[in-house]
Amino acid sequence: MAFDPVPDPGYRTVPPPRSGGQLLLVPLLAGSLVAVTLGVYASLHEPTGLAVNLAGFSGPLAAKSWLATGAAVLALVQLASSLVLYGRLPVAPPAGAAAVHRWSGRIAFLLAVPVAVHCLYAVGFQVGSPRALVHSLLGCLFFGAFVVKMLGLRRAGLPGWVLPVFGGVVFTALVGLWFSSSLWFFTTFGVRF
Amino acid sequence: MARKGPLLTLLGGAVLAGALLGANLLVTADDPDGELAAAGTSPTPTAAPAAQPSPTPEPPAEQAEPVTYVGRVDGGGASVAIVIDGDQATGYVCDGVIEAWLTGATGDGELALRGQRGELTARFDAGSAAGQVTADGRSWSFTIEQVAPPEGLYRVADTILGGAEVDGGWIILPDGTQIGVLTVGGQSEPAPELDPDTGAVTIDGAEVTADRVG
Repeated sequence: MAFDPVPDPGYRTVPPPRSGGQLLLVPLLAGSLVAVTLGVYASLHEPTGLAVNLAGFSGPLAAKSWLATGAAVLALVQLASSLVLYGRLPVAPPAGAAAVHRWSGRIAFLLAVPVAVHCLYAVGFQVGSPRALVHSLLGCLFFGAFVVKMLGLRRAGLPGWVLPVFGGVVFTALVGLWFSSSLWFFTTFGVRF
Repeated sequence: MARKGPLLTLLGGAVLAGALLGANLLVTADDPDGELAAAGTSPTPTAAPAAQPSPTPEPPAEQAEPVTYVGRVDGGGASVAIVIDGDQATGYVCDGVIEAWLTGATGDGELALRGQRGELTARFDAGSAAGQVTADGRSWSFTIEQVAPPEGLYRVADTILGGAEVDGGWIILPDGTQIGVLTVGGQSEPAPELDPDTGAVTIDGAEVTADRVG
C-alpha cells in the first residue's frame, strides 16, 4: 500500500458532509456485532478442550502466552508510534513512523487471532473466576474496538478524537488481555516455551 | 478515496481465523461423541490411596507393595505409567495435552486396562512392561521400566478455593521430567510442576497435594 504521510484521516480538513456520529454509525455497528458475536459463540460453542496450535511449544497455553506477549510488545510500539505521529513526543516524526504504526498494528492483530481462535474453540466464555471473566470480556471488546478503529480509518471527516480513543481502547484491552492471561500463565507455570 | 489497507487487515484476520477454525473442525471431527469436551469430568478410576511411598522399591511384581512403571512411548510422543497393585492396575497416558486414565485387572504377567478415553494392554515382569496404549484415537507402543519414588505417577482430584474442580495427572520420568495435564473447572492446561518430594503443587494460588498412585 502506498505510503501516506498524513497520519490519520481524522486530521484531514475536508469539510465533513455528515456529522461524526453518522460517520461512526456503521463502524460502531460492525464492531458491536463482532464483539457480541464472539461472546455469543464463545458461550454457546461446547469447548473442546483441544485445538490446533503452534508446534514447538510445550503446550497450547505456552504458545498462546508467547503470541500474546508478542502482540503486547507490538502494542507498545503502537502507542509510541501514535504519540510520535500526533506530535506528543518531543521528536519530529521520522519518515517511516506511519508505516511502523500500520505494520506493527497489523502484525499484532494477526498474532492475536490464533490466540482468540483457541480461546473461542477450546475454552469458551469463562465466568468461573474474576480473571477468566475479565479476560473473556476484554477479548470481545478488543476485537470489536479493533473493527471500529479499522473502519473508522476509512472515514474522512471523523472528529479528531475518534481514532485516538478507539486506538486507546484497543491498546488498553490488549494490555488487559496480556495481564489476565500471559502474566497469569508465566507466574503460575513459570516462564517457559 | 477510502483507503483499502484497514479493510485488508480485517480481511486477513478473518481469513486466518476461518482457516484455523476449519483446521480445528477437522481435528476434532473424529472425536467420538465429544469426549474431548468431557476431559474435565473424566471419572475417577481408583482414586489413589494416599500411600506412603516406600523408600526402596520391591522388585518382584507379585509382592504386596504396588509396583510402578513409567517411561516414554516409542517415538517419544507421549508418556505412559502403569501402577500394579496386587491384581489391579492403574494406567495413565499423557502427551501434555491429552490424557487418559485407565484401570483394569492383571494376571499372569499380562494386563488389560480400559478407560473412558482409551485402553492399554501390556505384558510385564519384575523390571519392565511393554505393550500398546490408545488415547483419543491415537496409538502408541511402549516399553517402560520399573521405577522408585519420586519417579512415578501422581494424581490430584480436589476442589480449590472458589469451588473450581481440579483434576490433574503427572508422570515423573527417571530423568526428572514431568508430563501432565491439569483440568481446572473443565479447562485443561499443562500441569504446573509439582514438588516430587512432597507432591505439593500450586493451582490458581491454592496449594494442593498430589498423591503418588500406588
